Amino acid sequence: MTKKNPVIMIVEDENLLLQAISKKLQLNNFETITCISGHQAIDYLENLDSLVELPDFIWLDYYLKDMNGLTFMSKIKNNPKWEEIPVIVISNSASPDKVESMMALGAKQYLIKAEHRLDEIITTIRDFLKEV
Amino acid sequence: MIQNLELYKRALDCASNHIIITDLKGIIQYANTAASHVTGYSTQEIIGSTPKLWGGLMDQSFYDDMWKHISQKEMYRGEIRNRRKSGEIYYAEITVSPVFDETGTHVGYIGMEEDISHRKDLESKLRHERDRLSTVVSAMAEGLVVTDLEGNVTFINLIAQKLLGITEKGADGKNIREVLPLYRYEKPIHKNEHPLEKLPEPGSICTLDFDSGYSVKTADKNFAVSLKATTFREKDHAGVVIVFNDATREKEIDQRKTDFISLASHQLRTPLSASKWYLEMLLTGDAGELSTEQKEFTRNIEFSNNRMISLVNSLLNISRIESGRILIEPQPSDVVQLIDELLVDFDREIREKSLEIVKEYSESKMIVESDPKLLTHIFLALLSNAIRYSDKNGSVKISVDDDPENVFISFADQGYGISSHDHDRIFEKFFRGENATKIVTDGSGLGLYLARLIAHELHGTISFDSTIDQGSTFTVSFPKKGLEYRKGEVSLDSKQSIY
Repeated sequence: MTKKNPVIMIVEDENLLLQAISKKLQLNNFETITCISGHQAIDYLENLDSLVELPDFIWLDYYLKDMNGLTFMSKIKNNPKWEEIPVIVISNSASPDKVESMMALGAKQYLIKAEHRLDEIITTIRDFLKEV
Repeated sequence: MIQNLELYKRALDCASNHIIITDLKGIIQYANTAASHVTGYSTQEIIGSTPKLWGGLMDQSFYDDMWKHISQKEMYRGEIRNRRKSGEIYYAEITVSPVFDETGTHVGYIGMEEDISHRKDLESKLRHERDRLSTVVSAMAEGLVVTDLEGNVTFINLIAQKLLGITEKGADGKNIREVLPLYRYEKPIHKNEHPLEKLPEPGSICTLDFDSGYSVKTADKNFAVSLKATTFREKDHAGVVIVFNDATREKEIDQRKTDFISLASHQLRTPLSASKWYLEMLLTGDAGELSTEQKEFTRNIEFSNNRMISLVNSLLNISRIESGRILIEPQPSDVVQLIDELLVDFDREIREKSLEIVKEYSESKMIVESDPKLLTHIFLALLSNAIRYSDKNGSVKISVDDDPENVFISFADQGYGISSHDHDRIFEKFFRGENATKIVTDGSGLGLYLARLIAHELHGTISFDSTIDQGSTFTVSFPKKGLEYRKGEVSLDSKQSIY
């Protein structure tokens, strides 16, 4: 059986960013699920036919138009089917309390968008996937 | 006997007080020279008349009271208003005593007047001055509290009473620390921070400003405060004058400004992130290989974009510090290590300019109890300036030294220097030295401003010495210990160089 490419769910409400991330991830042999809102991502997960189709990783922006990262993260971590999916938060808003609460909820890392190249973030994700 | 009498009479004449002797009806039998001098009437005019000649200006009750006393053979003492022959009013302290002859028979009265017009005049001026001062102090828009050197309240004006929710009586004798409980960022201030602990020398002022997070909290009052304390020391009088005002409104305006910058900065970063990532993809060939020139142009765009990101970061950092929401985490930090790590980050710039870095570290490790992130931001600003404002092949000397309490870190370059007429403004927000703007065109004027803001947060200072075309030395000093942890909503971003 050939190992399929890892699937990354991107939750990002800025369309241009969403496209850039998705494109870069695909070029790096990831499959992507693009979600422009928190609800779209939750709906997607809820409507999956089987757990096999769950994403391997979630790329989460903190400020979404319909909910913040904290709400989204709680929904993921409070659902036994989803709680194991690693989440990385990549936002332009990173106050210590946000970072702390997201890390406490189980985020793998909290990065500031404008500070990192996509390459760097992808390397970080790869490292986490290796651990899993 | 006769001789003695003559002597007594002369003595009375020599006395500076006005003295008269009357019979029981008040008819004057004798008046000394001073009586004539004070009243302006001649001795001949006085003798045979009554003191009404120059008196009678007081209410009848005054005279009734006097007569009541003296007719009961008691001495009377009081203050009286009289009129000289010239019509001029004068004030006198009078003493009237009954006179008895050798058989003990009451034969008359002796009256003495001391002219106290001068004293009265001074008293009235003093009273007037005091009334005026008290009116001014009451009408002051600021709260005013005066204490002794221990801080016990000796005076509190009306506004201060209102602001602190206390009455004059309630404050009297209480300590200022209790009457005016000072807070910083919602926490009672450290004992040592109280203006009374570091009493300013007379003539200098101790200032606590609302924008450094100071507020006053009593049982039912809570307001942002700006306060100034001065001491006074006179011969037998010393104390502290504290003037303060409710700065809630200023704080609100300040907060709105900070919120605006913070929001604007976040909003600015999102499109900057998009540009950053698309440029990255272009440059890594994700959209196909670029020609050499296309690559060069794209790199220039990337460079500008990164500069913009740094600028936004600086603005964000400034707004965070100014709003007092910055997290401070003191921990043992090695200053030498922090600087050496920064030098690695600047390796490319140092090599491009062929700069010589001279390290003069007094110790190979310099451990301080401070916030390493914030320290790095200060060193970053000073080091990047030293490098950016140096010519090729110059040298930058970095010194680390200490005394028992403080650490001193200097960055000395041999670069363009700062013109002396820019010295006063060099730490101002957005200010750039005149020659700096000509030689190094890209700069925001935020680096030194931010560095000094951070240094203040660490209880440190930054000073400099600079001569145009010869270079600048910036020295930051801060205490080795004593920095307190402060929970903050934000920390500073990025250790990228500040443009």
